[in-house]
Amino acid sequence: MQRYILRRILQMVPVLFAVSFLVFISVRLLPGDPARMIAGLEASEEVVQQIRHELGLDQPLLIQYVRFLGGILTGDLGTSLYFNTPVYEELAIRLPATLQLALVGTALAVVIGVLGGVLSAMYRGKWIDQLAIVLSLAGVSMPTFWLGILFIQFFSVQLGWLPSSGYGTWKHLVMPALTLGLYGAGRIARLTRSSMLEVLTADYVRTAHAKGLHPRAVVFKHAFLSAVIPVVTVTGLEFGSFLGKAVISESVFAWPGIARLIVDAVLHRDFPIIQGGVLWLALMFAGINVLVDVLYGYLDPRIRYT
Amino acid sequence: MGKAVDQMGHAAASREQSGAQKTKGQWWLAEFLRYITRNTSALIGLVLVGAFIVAGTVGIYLAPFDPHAVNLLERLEPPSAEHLLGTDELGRDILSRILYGARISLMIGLMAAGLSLGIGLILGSIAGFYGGWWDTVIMRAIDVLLSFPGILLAIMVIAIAGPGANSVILAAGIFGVPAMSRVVRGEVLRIKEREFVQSAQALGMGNLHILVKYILANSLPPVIVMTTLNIGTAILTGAALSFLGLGVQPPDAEWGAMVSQGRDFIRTAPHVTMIPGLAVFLVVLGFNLLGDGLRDFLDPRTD
Repeated sequence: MQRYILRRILQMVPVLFAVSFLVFISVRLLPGDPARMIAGLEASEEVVQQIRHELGLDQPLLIQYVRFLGGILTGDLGTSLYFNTPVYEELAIRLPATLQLALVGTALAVVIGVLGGVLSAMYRGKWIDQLAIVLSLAGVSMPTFWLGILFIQFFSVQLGWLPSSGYGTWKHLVMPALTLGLYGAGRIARLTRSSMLEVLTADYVRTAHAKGLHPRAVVFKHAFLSAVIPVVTVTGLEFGSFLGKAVISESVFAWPGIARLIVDAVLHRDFPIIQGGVLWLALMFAGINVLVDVLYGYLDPRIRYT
Repeated sequence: MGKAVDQMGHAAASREQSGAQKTKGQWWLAEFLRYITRNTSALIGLVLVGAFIVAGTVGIYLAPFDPHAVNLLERLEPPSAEHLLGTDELGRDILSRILYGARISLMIGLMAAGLSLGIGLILGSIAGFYGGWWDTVIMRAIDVLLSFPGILLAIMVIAIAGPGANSVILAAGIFGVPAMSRVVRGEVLRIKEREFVQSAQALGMGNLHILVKYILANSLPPVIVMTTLNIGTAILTGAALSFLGLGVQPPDAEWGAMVSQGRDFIRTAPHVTMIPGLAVFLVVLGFNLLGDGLRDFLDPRTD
C-alpha cells in the first residue's frame, strides 16, 4: 500500500513538470512587456532595460525556465507586478480562504448529493425521485454566477439574513459555499442514483433481500458501500472543477481567495501571480486525486494495489 | 472526468449493431420524433434548444429596439407593454439585448463545440487507431490539460489571447477537448477489434478509409451526445468568462456580461440581472435535457 502511494506520487511528478512548463510558456506569450509596465509609459529605454535585467527577462527562455523551477522548489515564485510583494506571500495569505471555501463546498455537495441520490434510487419512480432528478439537473445547468446572485437577492436583499459579500464569520461562508456545493451536489446526486440502481439489481443484494433483511439494512449495509465508489472518484475529479468554479463564487461574493486573485491578475497582466496561482491550484488538485486513489483501497477490498 | 467518460463509452457498447441501419436518414429521424414525443424531458430540451436557435438566428430581426440604443429617460424600468422585459441601467431594451445575446451565445456554443469535436476526433482517432507511442504521447498531453482545475485552463487561454469573443471560443473549445478525445479513443479502440474492420483490412482497404468509413461512422452516437452537451457547457463557460470580465466585453449584449453589469442594481431593479441569468440557465438546461434524451434514444440499454 505504501509503495502504491509512493508510486502514485512519483507518477504525479512528470505531469506537474509539464503543467509548470505549459504555465511558464503561456505566461511568456502574454501580450505586453512586463518590464515596460513596471517602469511606466514615460520611463526611458535604459530604465526598462535595467528592470528587464533585474527580472531576468533578458536571459534565454531555457535559463528562465530552470530558474523558475528552482524558484518553485525554494518557494520563491517571484514578485507580483501589481502588489510589488512576493507572490508566495500573496498566495499564502489567500490559501486558507480558498481551502475553506472548497472544503465546505465539497462537503455540502457530497452530503446533499449522496443523500439525494440514495433517496432517489430507493424511491425510484416516486415523487421523491422525480423531484431529485429535476433538482439535480437544475443544479448542473445553473450558471454558478447567477445562482450566487439569486442567493444574494433572496438572503441578503429580501431577508437580510446574510452579508452579501466579505470574509470572516460563518455567515459570510454560507452563500459562497452553498453556491459552490449545489453545483457539485447535482452531479453527485445523478451519479449516486445511477450507481445505486446498478448495485440494487446485483445478485448479492437480491440474496440479502432473500434472507429476509430489512430493506433499509440492504440499502445501507450492502448496496451503499459499493455504490459509493464511483462517487468518490467523481468527487475527487469534481474537486478540480470546484477549484475552478471557486473563481466565480469568490468573484460574486468578494471572497479573498486564490482563484479571485488569478482573475484579477489576468486583468492586471500580473504574470508572476498568474503562474504561481495556477501552479498552486494544479498542485492541490493533483494531491486530491492521489488521496482519492488511496481512499479507494479502503472502500473497495476488491481493489488490490501491487 | 475520465471515469465518467469511460462509462459513457461502455454504455454505448450495446447499440452499434443497430447503429448501422439507424444512421440511414429519414427512418432515423422518424424514429427519433416518435421517441421524443413520448419522453417529456427530452421534448422540453428540444423546445428550449429550438427556441434558442430561432432567437440566435432570426432574433435580431424580431428585436423591437436597437440593442445598443441608449435612452437615459427610461432607465431601469420594470417589464411593461412597451419594453416586455424592461430596460437596463442605460435605458436599453432588455428583450432586444437578450435576442442579440442569443446570437453571440449560439455562435460561441457552436464554434467552441465544433473546435472540441474537430480536435477531439483527430487526437482520439490517432491515439486509438495507431496506439503505441502515439497513444502514450497524446493521452499524456490530455492528462496535462486535465490537471488544470476547471475553468482555469480557459482563463489561461484568455490571458494569452486577450479578452473577446474569439478568445472565448478558443478557450471553451480547448476546455472540451480532453473529454471528447477520450470518448473517441475509447470508441475507436472498441470498434477496431470487430470483425467488419478486420475484414476491411483483409480486403486491403487503406487505414484512413477504414478509420473514417467503418470506425468513426460507428462511433457517432456517443460523439453526437457529447457534442450536444458540449454546446451547453461552452455557452455556460463563455457566459462565466464574460461575467468575470474576461470574455465578450460591454457594450456587446452577452448574457454573462449583462448579469455582471446588472449586479449593481440588484436592490432597485433585480430584473436587469435576473433575466439574462435565466436565459443562460434555460439554454444550458435545454442542451442538457436534449443530450440526456439523445443518449437514452441512441442507447436504450441505460435506464
